[in-house]
Parts: sequence; C-alpha cells; structure tokens
Amino acid sequence: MTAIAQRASGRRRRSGRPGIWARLSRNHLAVVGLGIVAGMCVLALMTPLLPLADPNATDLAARLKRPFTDGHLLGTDQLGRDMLSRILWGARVSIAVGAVATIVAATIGSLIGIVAGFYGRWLDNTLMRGVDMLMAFPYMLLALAIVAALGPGLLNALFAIAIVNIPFFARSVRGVTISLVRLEYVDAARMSGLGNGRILFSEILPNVVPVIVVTMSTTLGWMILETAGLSFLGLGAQPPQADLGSMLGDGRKLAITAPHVATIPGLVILVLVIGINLLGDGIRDVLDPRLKSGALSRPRAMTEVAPAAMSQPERSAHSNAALALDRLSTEFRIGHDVYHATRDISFQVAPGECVGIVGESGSGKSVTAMSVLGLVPTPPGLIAGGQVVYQEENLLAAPLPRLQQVRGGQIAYVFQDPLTTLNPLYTVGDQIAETVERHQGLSRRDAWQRAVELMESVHIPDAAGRARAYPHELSGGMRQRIVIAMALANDPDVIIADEPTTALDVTIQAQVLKLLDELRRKHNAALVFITHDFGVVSEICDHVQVMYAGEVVESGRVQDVFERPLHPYTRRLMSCIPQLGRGRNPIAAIPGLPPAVNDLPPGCPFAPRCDVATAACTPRPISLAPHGEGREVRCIRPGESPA
Amino acid sequence: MNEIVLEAASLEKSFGGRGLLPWGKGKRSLQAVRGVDLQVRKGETLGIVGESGCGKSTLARMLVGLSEPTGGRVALSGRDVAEMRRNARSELRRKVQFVFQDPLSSLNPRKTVRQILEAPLDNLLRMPRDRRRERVAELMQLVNLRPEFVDRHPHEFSGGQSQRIGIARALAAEPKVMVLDEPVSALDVSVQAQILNLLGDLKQRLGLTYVFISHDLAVVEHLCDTVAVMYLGNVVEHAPAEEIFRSPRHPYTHALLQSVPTLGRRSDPDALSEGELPNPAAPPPGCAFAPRCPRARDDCRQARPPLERMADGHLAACYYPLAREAGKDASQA
Repeated sequence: MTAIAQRASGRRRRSGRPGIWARLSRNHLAVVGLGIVAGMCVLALMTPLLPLADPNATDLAARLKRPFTDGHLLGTDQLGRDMLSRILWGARVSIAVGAVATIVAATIGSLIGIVAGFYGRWLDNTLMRGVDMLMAFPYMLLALAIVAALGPGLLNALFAIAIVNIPFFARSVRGVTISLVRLEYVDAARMSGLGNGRILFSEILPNVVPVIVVTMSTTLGWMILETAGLSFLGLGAQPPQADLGSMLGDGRKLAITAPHVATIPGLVILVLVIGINLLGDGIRDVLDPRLKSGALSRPRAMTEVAPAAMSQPERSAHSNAALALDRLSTEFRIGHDVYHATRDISFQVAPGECVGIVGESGSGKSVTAMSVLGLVPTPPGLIAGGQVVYQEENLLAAPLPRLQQVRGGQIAYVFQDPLTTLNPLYTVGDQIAETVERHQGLSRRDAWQRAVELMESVHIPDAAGRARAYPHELSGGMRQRIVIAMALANDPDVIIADEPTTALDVTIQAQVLKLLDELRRKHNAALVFITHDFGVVSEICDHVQVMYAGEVVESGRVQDVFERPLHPYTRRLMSCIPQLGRGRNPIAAIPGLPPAVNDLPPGCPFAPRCDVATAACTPRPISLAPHGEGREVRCIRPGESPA
Repeated sequence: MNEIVLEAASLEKSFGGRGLLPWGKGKRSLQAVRGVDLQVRKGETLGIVGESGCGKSTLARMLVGLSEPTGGRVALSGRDVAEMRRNARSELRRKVQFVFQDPLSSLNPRKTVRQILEAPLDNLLRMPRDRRRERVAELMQLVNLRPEFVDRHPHEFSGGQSQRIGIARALAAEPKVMVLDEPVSALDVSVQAQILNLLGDLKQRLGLTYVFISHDLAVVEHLCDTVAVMYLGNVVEHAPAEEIFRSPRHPYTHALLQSVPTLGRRSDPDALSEGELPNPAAPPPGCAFAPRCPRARDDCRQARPPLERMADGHLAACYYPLAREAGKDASQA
C-alpha cells in the first residue's frame, strides 16, 4: 500500500501535462482571438456608459462627414448620425443577438440530439428525420421564409437563425451520445438503479457538455454573420435601430460617394467574426479529447536520437549476433516530466534464436522493440543513449533512408493488432506484393506471385483466392498470418514480434505460435518476441529478458529462469499466475503497484514490493550482474526467499 | 445440495433481422446465444468459458437483466427476471449485480468514487444520507481501498484500483448473486492475482454466488466449482471444474485445454484441425465445432448433438466424446 500512496501523492503533486488555460495560451492565434472578442465585449457592455452621441439623433446639416472630423471620430452617415456611436450600439445588438441565438440553438439542438442518441430506435428516427428536413433547405432561404412568416424584426430574425442552426447541434450531440450510451458506465448506472431520465442528465449530459461548448464556439461567428445578413436584407433590425448588418445595407447605396459608411461596419463584422473563429478553434483544440491526447500531432519519421547514442560499435564486439542492443535507453518528455521508459537494455539475439521480452504493461518492453528502428514517436520520445548494432552498424546513428531500407526489409515487425496494421482499402495480396515490390524491385506480376507463395508458406488455405480478400473478410488468426507473411516477404534476418498473439483466441494463438516457431527455424531468422504471458515465453523462446519498470531485472535461458528464478520479482510473478492443471491452489499476489517511471526511487524499483528487500536495496542503483552460466540478475540477494 | 438461485432455460438472443421498413424484415439475424440451459446453486461459482464471439458476454447481460432474451427465460430464485425487470426492477438489482470487464470505461469519468458508490445505496436501498457515508467507508475497506480515495475521480486510479471500485459498487446493493464479465482480463498478472484473491475472500465472507465469465482457463480453474464451456452460442460441456479439467469429454474443451501455453509444457495445436471458426450469422447445420474437430464424422455435420449426461453431473454435447480420463496425462504432465 505504500507504493500506492507514493504513486497517488506523486500524481497529486503535478500531472506534468499543462492545464486548459496553459494549452489555450500556447495557441497564439487563439490568444489574439480572445483579445479581440474580449475587447469587443467590453466595449459593447460599456457603450451606455461612454460619452457618446445619441446613435439615433439625426442632423441633416452634418450628413456624410468623413472620418476624423471634429466631434465625429468615424464621421457621420446619410442622416448625419454619429458613426462611432452607431457602430458601438450596433455591435452590441449583433453580439447579443448572435449569442442568444447560439444559446437557443444549442439548448434545443442538444436536447434533440441527446434524446435521439439515448433512446434510439423510432424516436431517433423521427427526430433526426425532422432535423434532416431542416437541413434540406438552403439555410438562408429557410431563415427568409421564417422571417417572412413571422414578420421582420430583430427578435424574429433571432428565432430564424436559431432554428436554422439547430441541426448542427442536434447532429454532433447525437453522435457523441450514441458513443457514450454504449460505454459500460451507462450500464453500470442502470445496475445501480438509475432510471433513464437520471442516466440522461447525470451520466451522459456532463460528458456531452464539451462537445456542446466546442460547437457553440465555432458557430457563434456564423450566427453573427447570419444576423448581419438578415439585417442587411432589411429583415432584421428595423430603423432607426443600429445594427452592423443594417448599417452595411444603408451604406451600400453610398458606396461611391461616401465609402466609409459601408466600409466601417463591414470591417467591424470582419474583425469580430475572425476573432470569434480564432478563439473557437483554440477552444476546440483544448477541449477535443482526441487533440488533447496529442493523437493528431504528427510524429517525425524517426525517433530523435541524443548524440550520446550515435557512436559506432567496436568491431567484432557482437560478431555472431543478428541483432544486439547495448545499454539502450529511451525516454519520453511530456511537460516538465521525463518518463524513463527503458534504461540500459542490453541483449543480443543470434540467427535462428528466439529471445523473449516479458513484463507487465508499462515495463518498457514495447518501447524497447520500437526503439530498434526508431519507431518511437517524437515528440515526446527520445533515445537518450546506447547502441542498436546490426551488421556492425549502429542503427541509431543511421540516417532515415538507411533506416527505411532496413525497416520491413532485413528487420521486420509483427504487431499486436493485425486489423490496424493492414490497410482496409487494399486486398491482402496487394499489400504483401507492395512490400515485395518496394524492397526487391520485382515486376507487379512477379510480386503478386511471390505474395501468393508467401501466403502458402504461412499455411493459408486457398492462398491464390484469399490474396484477393480484404482484411475485414478474414478472421483474426488469418489476418495475423498475413502480417507474418508480410514480415517474411524480404527474407528478414530479424523479426520483432510485439504481442503478436495477445488479440487472438487461445486455439488460434497455439497455431500462430507454432507457425512462428517453424518459420524462424526454416529461415534461420532471429526472433525477438515481446509478451506479457510467461506461458507463451516458455512455449516459443530460448532466452528470456524479464523487465520491470523499464529495466531488465533478470535474463537467461527460459528453462533455467522458470525453474529457478533469481530475481524476487520473477519468482513472485510466477507464483501469482494461476497455472492450468494446478486446481484451486492459492495464488500469492504481489502487493502494491509498479512505480511510475517519471518518479523512480534511486535504488531498486521493486524494493517497496519485495519480500526480501533490505536497507541496502534502496540508496543506489543496482547493476545487472552475471550469476552462473549465461544468466544475469539485477538483485543483491539473488535467489533468496523470505525466511 | 444447495437450492438453485439462478437458472436459464433454453435462453436465446439474436441481434438484427428487424428492419423498420417492410423490405428490411427479411434480413438474417445473428444468433449470439442459441438455447442455453444453466443452473447456478447457492454459494457456488459457475465459470463460463469460451473464445471471443461465443456469446458468453451476451449471456451474462441476460442473466442480470441488462438485455432482454429473444427466447427462453432467466429465473432468479424461481422468479422470472424479465417480469421483475418490468415490475420490480430495484428488487432485481438488489439481488443480482454485475462487474464489468473494462474497469475504466465502467466508471463515469466525471463522478467521484463517493458518488459512484452512493448511487446504488440511494436508489436501490433508499439509505439515508448519514448511513450512506458510513456504508461507503465500509465498502472501501471491504475492497482494500484507502478511505481518503473516496473523493477522487476515476482517472486518478490504476486499472486494479478501478476494478476494486467496480466490485465495491456491485457489493453496495448487497446482492446474493454476482455476475462477473471478464473482471480480470484487462489487468496485469500481478494485479490480477490481487483481484482474484479479493473475489475469493469476499465470496467466503459474504456468502455470495458467482457467475464468472472468462476466456482464461487457468483463472477459471483457480476460482470455479463448476464450469460451462461455450462454443458459438451453445454450451458444449458442463461439469464440475475438477472433472472438466481432468478429463474433458468434448473435443473442443480438450482442444482449448491443449492450446493454453503453460510453463514447462508445450501446447498442442494439433488438437484442432486447421478449419476456421464458422460464421455466426450462418452456422453449419450440425455441430458448430465439426469443421475444426479432428473426431468429426458425417453425422456430426447433419444434426446438432444435444447436451447429454456423460457421468454424474457431467454434460457434453458430442456424438463421439473423448473417453473418460483421456485428458489426464496431458493436463498434468
């Protein structure tokens, strides 16, 4: 429990990820937009207090004065009314109408969307077909028709604009609601005895609010434009009331003799709407969960490598290895925090050999695999040190074209989820053939022939026919075979398989494991196999590296490690896995949680959960030391059990 | 033998096939559960095992009344669940509760742990406010969570801690039966062990009955008294756990056991022929497992074998079952 407390307090301290305000202020354009909108709003609110001329007081003697004349900073219009005063009063009306219309449209539209999305079936159909009918009319015509029916006037224009914009809210809110209704917490609320109405308002609505706010911020500018448009046509604000649109309309007739009468309100509309849109974009970027996770920020084509990791290997240091990792360290820099995802990973794999990397989630096993060919996304990833030696070359120092040649060529990857690895728009045969074409320069026809051969080599029945299938037409096991066939396409020296069977059912997993085992022997390829499952390791691997909190804690031959684990973590992890065939034997859980890798203790990271830890374990790092033949362990009390 | 608390009789569920317009009615529906009979006795743990798409989660949702069967019935201590769902919903929720698979998505990100745990106390038990506070503290203690976590939001917790909250929420209603849908499959092994031990401990202390759904045979063997194996919407074998793991009678159960990679034992992928899982929307006429079964003969492909009694309390749906004790060597070697 101490580890939990430490971790929780660490999280409380600071999350490392910047807050909403910090993220908004990083977007300079949004800050400009915020400045414009805030300035306009302050001016609009203060208008009645400012020492301005009466906006409706006509003075025909002083008509059409140019800007910057005495007493009229922005000149006067055709009736001699002060332009500055009319602009400010007009902006006040435009902003108010736009804002109220937005709120009305948001309320009604969101209500329709949330009810339609939540109840579904016939109610959804009825409501959304009604919304579709609203959208089937050109919006301006619809607004005109509504105003024509209700009569001209600002309030009616407001209603017209609100109604026209209801579909935008209804549609986006319905979409989000549908995805939320399927989440388990809605079912959980049902199990807790909540009725539909309570679920709608207390479970779903709070999670929909960000979408409503985003839609509001992006439609507000639009609404102000539409208000101006209706007023311009004389259907909104009625004379003598000032409104930006009607001022523009009045000035249109004087465009040649007195251009300032139309230009000034036009400019004000332009600046106001640009300001609102910039701010709206900023708000969307901050609130949209996909953007928040950084999923849309484009990573570079290869991981950034620190100069410390660029040195060339000494000759013949790893002469008989197909691939060797030497003190590889990769970190992630997010906000002010540095996450040490992997530290000092060293191992090598010989041709035809299989090395397993096993560990729990967050132990750094996938980051290790991705670092080999610079596939860790940057930002935030950085390879901080070490070497990846392939054919006496440090791949970390290699330029991008060289890496791209190796990727999918001599070193191939097989990932966990074949459905996301394969492109849904091309047939599987096309995708294998493309890999062959790119690396071997074969003709299209030969490449296709080779693709079919490869599919046969991974035991796909009716390979020639299946080559014309799209990924969704194949089962999970078949798809993973296709990915393996792609990995084999260029006769790789090394295959890195990252949890290749985790998404598969056990019966299919057994077949895929058998296939991988057979292929590495046949092609004499080195296999690096990443998994969280000890059973799978013992099934296929020769050597194993056990990882914990970014470090290898123990390595050796699979049989030796599993028969006599040296590190307390390995020993305890093995005793807390239920083993088939052992009946109802009690399992001994490991208390606590792994440490957060941005807040590691100075000494052994497992010490707080360890049953043989002593005071000597915590003050300084413990190094990986040889222990018997071919084995290494990062522990000062290897192989000991609690008394 | 204890009384039966939860019972499913020829339970069926199909999806789709119901269009709004007249010409949409001919669409073929997908039968997720195809006539399942199950009985759960008081105090026992029934494991339901199967691979993805076998209908085990759909079955679980019907058992607790989260989804309505399209055929057959579920009875809770003899009362029809569909009827209770309409007329006595809160009584139904008080008697049977559910633990979800994904510990994070089953907690509303905008609610605190206190709000999540108080919901069933308020809505189902009508507990007054001060009593609710006490009870929340008790529940936190019951699942080994620190009391000061109670005002935090779900994103501040790890997967294991979130699952403890999910279990506490289910326990809040003081149910007799808990249906657990893959409660540990999203967790890491060291955390999984903590949750399994907690579940075992709670069951003993509170006298609960569990229906435990999982794809992990080792976990089921560790926790369950009886086991039902599902394949493509059917129960193909149902027996006491010891019996089913020591000597499976259905070739599918045998293949499943042989496929699990285990320390120090090579799995045997040849327990299956290379066939494919049939399309659940168009299942074969006979035994659904026949296309992958090394023992299948012609009559297997013609009619679906019924679930028959093989030995005392051991049911299997197979015309050519494995001999008793046949799996013994393999699973103990």
